[in-house]
Amino acid sequence: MRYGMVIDTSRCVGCNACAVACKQIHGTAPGVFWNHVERWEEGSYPNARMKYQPVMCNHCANAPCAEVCPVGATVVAENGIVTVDKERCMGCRYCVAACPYDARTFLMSTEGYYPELGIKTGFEETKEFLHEAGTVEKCILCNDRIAEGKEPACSKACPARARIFGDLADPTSTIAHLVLQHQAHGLQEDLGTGPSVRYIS
Amino acid sequence: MTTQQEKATAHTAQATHTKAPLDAVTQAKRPRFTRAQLLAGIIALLCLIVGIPSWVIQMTTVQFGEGLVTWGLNIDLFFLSAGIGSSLLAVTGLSLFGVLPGVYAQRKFLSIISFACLFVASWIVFVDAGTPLRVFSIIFSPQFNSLFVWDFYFIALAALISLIILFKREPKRALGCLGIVFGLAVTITEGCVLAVSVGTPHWSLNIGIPILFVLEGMIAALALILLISRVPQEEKRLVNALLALLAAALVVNAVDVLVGAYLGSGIEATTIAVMVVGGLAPLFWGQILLGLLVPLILLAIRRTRVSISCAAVLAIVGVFLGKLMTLLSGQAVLADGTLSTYMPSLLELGACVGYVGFVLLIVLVGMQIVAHRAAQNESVLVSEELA
Amino acid sequence: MDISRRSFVKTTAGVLAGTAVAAGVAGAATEAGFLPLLQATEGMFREALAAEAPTKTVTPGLCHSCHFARCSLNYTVEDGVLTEVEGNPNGPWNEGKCCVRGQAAPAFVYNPYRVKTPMIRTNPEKGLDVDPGWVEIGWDEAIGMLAEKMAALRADDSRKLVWMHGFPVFYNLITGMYGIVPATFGTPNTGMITGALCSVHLSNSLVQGGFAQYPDFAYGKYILAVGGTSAPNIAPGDGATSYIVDALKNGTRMVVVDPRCSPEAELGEWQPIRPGTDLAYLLALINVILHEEDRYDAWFLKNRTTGSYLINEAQSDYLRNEAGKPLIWDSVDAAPKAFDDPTINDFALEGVYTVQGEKVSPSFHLLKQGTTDYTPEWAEEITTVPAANIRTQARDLLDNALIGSTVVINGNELPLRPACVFLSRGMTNHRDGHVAFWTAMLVNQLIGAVAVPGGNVVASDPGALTPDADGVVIPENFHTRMWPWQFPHEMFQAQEFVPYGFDNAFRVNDALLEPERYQADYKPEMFISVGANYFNKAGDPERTSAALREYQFIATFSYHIDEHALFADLVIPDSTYIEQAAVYNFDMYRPGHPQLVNSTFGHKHIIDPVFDNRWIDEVWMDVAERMEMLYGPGQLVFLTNIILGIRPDLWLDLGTKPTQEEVIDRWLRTRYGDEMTLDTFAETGFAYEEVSGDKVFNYSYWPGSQTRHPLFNIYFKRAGDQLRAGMREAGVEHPGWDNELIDFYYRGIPQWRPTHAVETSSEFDLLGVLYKTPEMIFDVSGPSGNPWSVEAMETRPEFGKICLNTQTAEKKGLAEGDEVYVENRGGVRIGPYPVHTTELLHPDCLGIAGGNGHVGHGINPRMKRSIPYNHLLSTGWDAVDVITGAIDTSPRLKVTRA
Repeated sequence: MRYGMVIDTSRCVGCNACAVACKQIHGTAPGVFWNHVERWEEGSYPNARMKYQPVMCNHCANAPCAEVCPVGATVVAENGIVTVDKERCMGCRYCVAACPYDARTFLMSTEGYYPELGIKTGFEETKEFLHEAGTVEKCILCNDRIAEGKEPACSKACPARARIFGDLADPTSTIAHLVLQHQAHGLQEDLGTGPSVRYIS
Repeated sequence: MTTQQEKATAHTAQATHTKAPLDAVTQAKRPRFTRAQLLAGIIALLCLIVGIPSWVIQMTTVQFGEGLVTWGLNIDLFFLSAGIGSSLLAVTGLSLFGVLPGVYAQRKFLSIISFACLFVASWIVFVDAGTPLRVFSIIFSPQFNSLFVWDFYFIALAALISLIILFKREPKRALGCLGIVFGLAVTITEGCVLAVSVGTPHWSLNIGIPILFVLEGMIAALALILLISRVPQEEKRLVNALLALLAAALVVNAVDVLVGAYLGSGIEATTIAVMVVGGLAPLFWGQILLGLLVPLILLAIRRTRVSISCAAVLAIVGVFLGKLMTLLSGQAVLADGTLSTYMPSLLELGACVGYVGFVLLIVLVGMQIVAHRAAQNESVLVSEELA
Repeated sequence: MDISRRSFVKTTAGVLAGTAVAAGVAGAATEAGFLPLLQATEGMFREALAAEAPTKTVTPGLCHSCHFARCSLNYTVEDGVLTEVEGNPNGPWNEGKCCVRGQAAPAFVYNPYRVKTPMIRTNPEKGLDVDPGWVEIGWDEAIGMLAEKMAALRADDSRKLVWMHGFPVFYNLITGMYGIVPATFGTPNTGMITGALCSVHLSNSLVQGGFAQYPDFAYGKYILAVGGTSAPNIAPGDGATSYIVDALKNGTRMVVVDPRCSPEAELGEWQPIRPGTDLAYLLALINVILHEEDRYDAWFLKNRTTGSYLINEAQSDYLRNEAGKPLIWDSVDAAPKAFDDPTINDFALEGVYTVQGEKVSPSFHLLKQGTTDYTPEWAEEITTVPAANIRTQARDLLDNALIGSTVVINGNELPLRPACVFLSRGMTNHRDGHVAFWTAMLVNQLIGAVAVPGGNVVASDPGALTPDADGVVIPENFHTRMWPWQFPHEMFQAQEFVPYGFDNAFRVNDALLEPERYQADYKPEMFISVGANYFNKAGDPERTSAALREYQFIATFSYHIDEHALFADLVIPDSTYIEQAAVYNFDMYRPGHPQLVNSTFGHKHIIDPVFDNRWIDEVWMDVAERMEMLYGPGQLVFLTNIILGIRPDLWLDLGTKPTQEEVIDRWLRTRYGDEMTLDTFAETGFAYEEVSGDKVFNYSYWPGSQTRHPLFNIYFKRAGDQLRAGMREAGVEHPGWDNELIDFYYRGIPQWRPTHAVETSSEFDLLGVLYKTPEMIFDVSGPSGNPWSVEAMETRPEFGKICLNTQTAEKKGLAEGDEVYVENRGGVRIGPYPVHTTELLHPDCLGIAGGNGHVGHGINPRMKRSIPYNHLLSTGWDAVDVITGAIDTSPRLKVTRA
């Protein structure tokens, strides 16, 4: 079993639904997006356009972050999902440097979105237990939702149906078909990280 | 006693009779602290007054410099401290082979510094970690796939060897061998810590970094020796060695930049641009000129006490800036091509000042312990002779 | 201290070893058991806590984070706290999807900057930068205050209440769009402040009897989208986004005519245009179609439009026979006949005929004549769209329209026209914007693409195309109203001066400041604002501030402190849709589904109010009770029954104060039958009927020549004539327009004249363009104050910046990041803001993404990061659209370095 995601950038309209869905489900801190959309302009007027590329943790088969973690907080699970055990993480940020995708965030504070008021909202309080200041965190491919038989929040949300979640190792799955059909590629594949997130463009 | 040891003893005896303020501790009747030591003590105290609160705040509230760089001044000091400590150990270890008798005579003093630097390097990791208490997991559940762990253990071993060299009256060559091996192992491993970081092309595409780390460590160690020790016999050789190392470091830097500029693409090319003409240019050219070129020229054309001291200071500052440069350049460009920013916070600066103070403190305490022991031993010797 | 080497080493070693052992034990314990033990204990503790508290529930409900409100979401609530929001897989539109706006709902609800409890101001001075000196009061006092003042006013003159509402409260039946409270109170002075940005309904309604038009993506192959968003630009979760993406990937072409390259332009093709010049562009399209290509859907024009109707010489009406029926010219019999005469052999579309002593022509002929001069070259000068492109686009429309083809759906043969022009606010909110809208519908009529598969359609509705006595789609319906001339005026704002005005709510402020120009014989004293905001939905902030100061008492129902609240004497906290029972019914055509009609989305209970806020329908019932406006005939409960159309046997008792839930329950049962109680409804969160196949297209209800779309705009002409006659009779002057202007635009065949869009001004050389982004549309759920929406916006390079075409910026010596002020011709200046240079914008434009900025003392600081674009808009008579009175959203602007 190897969970992964195919992202079709030709369908993406850059709406940020995935970014905010992830933020909402996991209650991430201000400025932290485990999932976000890269955007850049190409061409010149009037033959110009904006390009969109949603990015997230690639849950690499040969995860450099897991390689360099001195305390074994970052592990690649059997199902391919790379997680960080925040009870173990010592916050050395070696993994942050090692990740070619800038997918990891070192969390500095859990004071929430309203430090100017000195309060945390009722919603923020329910998500507190998911984060610890001084540790590194990242996209977990919603492994808690997957365990309940749901799909990740980002692919669930996408109004353009640009994200497809599934088991890359299952040749009968939709995602495996898509990878084959479109020769979907991972980012910076030449680094040998073996990303589980593949792109169709 | 072997001939070598006889020689060494003779040298030590000689050394004792020359005016070396730092060896005054061997004479029980001399004042407990020299003026230099007092000064160093005051500096250490001041540094720690700034440092200790900074550490406490940093460890309890998780704060770092502003911007998107996660390895900044703290890690720079870590590499510097570990680099000096381990390289000093390597040089001291080499001296146990009798090829550097002046250094050998200074071995205790240098071992104290070595130990202090290595200990403080570990301390820096502790302070810098997001959750310091979990650093102990490196001891209790080490993940040996991570070079960070190897570095940690090499530092620990190097510190231990420093201590042994410090307290052994006549350290054997085998110990010297270990000193060289683990002394170099630290800097090589640290260079590799960066070099295996796949996510940082500027480090991983660059075979020069482990080499550079070894060179920088040795530069700092030799510069320190020349700065604060009296080794007139070997001064010329040490200066030549330092010259060669500076030149080598210049070459490695140049190769790094040229290879990156001509063969690198995307992030690497942007990084080189940022380094050479962009936001990091002042730091880059600063460390090249002040830290490598100027000391090299100084040593090449003039070898007075003053010029050597100046060159040494510049060289050490150059290593500090050079490692900062390595760190920042690697983190200058994000995966999406945008540039990151960094500004050390007051807290970081305070913490770093504290590290310097901590090293000074350990060195001073260490010197006191050694002096006390030496005084006792002398009394014993005297009493033995009398007896 | 005596430390021998041996003892030192021994001690050290001992200490080290001891530490190692201790730590090792701790570590081992940690690794092996202690930590897991701790975690397990913590887990048990949590479970124990949870077991005592209410368990996790998942409730389906409506999403009202934007105004479409057709998505059904699943709300997860744990211990009374909303913890998750995601799409409901059973939602008929969204099928499990949820857009960025819905995803941000928890931050919308749990926002500490919300108004939490009723408050009154203690500082009598009112202004945007003035501290009101808020003091919290209890609900009883608040309701008492409101009731007392309203009762006194009602006893005096109920017209003196101005009530403005807006999208944010539309899921409330009583306080929402039906205006039941002001109707009960007895004031005509109500409206929706956002209405003036909504010049997108009239022509559509006149032509095909529906609220909003849309291209049919199921059969459509070529869509010319002019200033309109079909879905991907704002990425709603309702299925349209992915459906359209699919269509475009499968060969449907969408040409987006827009000053800005939007996501839709990226998916399709971008045709840049100077903003506010779309009328010229469309007239040129007609010119190519009629004069160069000479191709059009003759059958459609003859049988389903008034193209063959003879127009009188005065061009004020159809030429009619004695029975009053419009006449056509039978080209075979060479004689005039009534339009529905069964002996007609063929309808003449062209020619000049003498009938009843008048030289008359069919309206098609007049259209053709009237567009002779509007060549593509002429249009290129005005619009900057190359003449060759205009020709290509006209040809592509014609080629793809497959004029004459049909398709069989459900055994029913319908015309198939897989091409159309689609449009929206980007085109219509300009001086001549609504005339442009009408013209776009003319283009669609010329190619036969109205209400048919592949063409421009509205929501399925058997009654939409019902013909009137003239055989033409009835022009009066829920969405269209021509204000009859009344004098003294019906409303304080003298809406009669804009006969087809759609919620020109801002005009009240003009009348307050210059009552003599509006012939007011009374002065409003109280202003109640419910989910409305002049400052960021109208314009002219200074005038608005001055007008608001004219009121003696202002009460606002506010989600957070915004500009209106800053002028309020009494602020009442609004509830979000998640904290109360809510229902929303609004059918629109959406691509990709069987069409839903009679659809309602809603819920009964998700969470309790988070602060001291209440359900505002119930607040109003309490107020009404207190002021004796609740019980008995003619009062609030009574009018609730009437206006909501509650089935007589389900009427709420006139002597009992109902709860909001009871009202909703009766309303639901009226619409869907007695089984559909609120409880039943709440189980799924929606109720609807489905229409599919041929019934999606309103043609199927009135096929052949059973109805006709108006080609000649007798409505505008009538309105103009009525206006002039009324003014003449009453002896009053129009506050802003002269008769020449009225005559120019209020006529049957559109024509063009220069507007500010084509002025050459060396100083105000830029035209403003505001565009929506998915995070920030409608401002219905406070996105500019929502920290997640703001952060998401911040990932866009243009957020909070003044966008300029790269070359334009260069000419001005401006670079990325330079700070500039933006100023309009009225002297309003905003800024400074940094410049963002882009290739995705027409060179004549100044672009702002999202807008929705707010200003004011003590407001949520995040709201200030968005740019308050509407401050730059003018509500002056020289600026607004001449047909609907809508605000021109592309003013002339200039930038100056800060």
